[in-house]
Amino acid sequence: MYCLRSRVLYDLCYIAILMIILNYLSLPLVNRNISHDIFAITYQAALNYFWCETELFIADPCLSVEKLLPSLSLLDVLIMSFSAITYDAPYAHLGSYLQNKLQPNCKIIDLANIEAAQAIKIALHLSKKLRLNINDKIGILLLN
Amino acid sequence: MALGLDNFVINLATAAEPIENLPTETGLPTHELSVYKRYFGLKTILIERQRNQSQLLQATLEAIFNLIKHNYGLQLKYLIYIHTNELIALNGQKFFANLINNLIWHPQYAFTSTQYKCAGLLKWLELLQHCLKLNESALLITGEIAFSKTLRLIPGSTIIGDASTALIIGHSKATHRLLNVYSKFIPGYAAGIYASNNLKQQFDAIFISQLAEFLQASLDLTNLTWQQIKLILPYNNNVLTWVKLAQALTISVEKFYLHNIARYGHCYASDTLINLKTALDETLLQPGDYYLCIACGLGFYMTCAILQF
Repeated sequence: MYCLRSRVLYDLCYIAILMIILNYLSLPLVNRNISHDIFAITYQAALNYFWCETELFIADPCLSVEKLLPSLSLLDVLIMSFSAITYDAPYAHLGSYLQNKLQPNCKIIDLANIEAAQAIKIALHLSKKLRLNINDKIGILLLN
Repeated sequence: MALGLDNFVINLATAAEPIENLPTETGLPTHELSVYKRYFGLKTILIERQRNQSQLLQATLEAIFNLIKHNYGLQLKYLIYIHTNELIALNGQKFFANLINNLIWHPQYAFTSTQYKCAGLLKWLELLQHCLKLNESALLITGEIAFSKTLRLIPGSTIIGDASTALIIGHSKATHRLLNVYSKFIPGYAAGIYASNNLKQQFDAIFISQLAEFLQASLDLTNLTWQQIKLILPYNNNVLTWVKLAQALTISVEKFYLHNIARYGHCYASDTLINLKTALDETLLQPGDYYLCIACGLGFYMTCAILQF
């Protein structure tokens, strides 16, 4: 349990530091056309991530996703990283379930079987590549 | 320069077993299995009994690296393992990390993807059009072993075979030029195989017409006609689907490459490359021919890719 918590705290700190740096140095990011929406959702997702891992397993992980739906429904691209916790979710395919709740043409990119820090790195990279229009809203959701 | 399929390999299970021998694997009695044989055209199914999933994928990676030898001029930007089942290993096993640790050609970004299920390979071809620069390439790997009855059987549709494939894609003068990839999501069916019977019947009633409409629109957008398409490579679920689709599109069912349905069964996202390989081996495609690949993913996603050999 100690090791698990250490690891969770390490990952959470990584995300938190990343968010703080990116938020406070947001000017160059704006110039690189990365929306603030990304970080708003990442912040909520980070809390969600912490909660999931410390509880080890939660009966209905989709409940926490439901809270994010108002934000997610605005997105043109959703990049999410989730692990096996969704396997026993009430929705057989969480991604497809989300696809129903988002804009019809929203691209969902799932990054599976990687650690949270790596997921953030890849998600930030793909968010730049998949911003096809200047006004596209891109979200990153962690459910590891 | 368009994206193209540079090199690809297929890696089939060590044996294809007669469908009658699979009551334990599918949970179906023999007389029900005969329905899948008679009406759906499934005769033998690829069953992997010697290698586990890790060994299957490892062999696929070795095969693709042997194929390209040391010709690693392009930068390997992405390695994406596309799988249908969300669980590919027991919790705590670093399955994917172990798989890519010993690679001789290291990707800048490596991850796995399951969102688009069996349509994942074609969907990632669509997405990679926006991600790859001229000197970059991506390695897409598919393949999994159906280790339970739930995974082995899609009731009323097909039986799953075990296989794996790998593909290198990049901007190059490749033998297979990717003209366009299209995808469409049909909302309301996120439950997949766990959908109620009513929902399944509702889906069956609209599926063929929706797919026909989608394919026709995709072809129109590419400025091609069905006469110009030499071959259609659908996924290997069952023969009945493609007979109905041919009727809906008013084209000959002979245009559909259906040989592997009887031989291998439906091998998740690996069907596309398996069909392309065997169609090429049977010289069904000549240089310059246009062909169309179809893949669908539970949830429900439809994708098609239009290519030129």
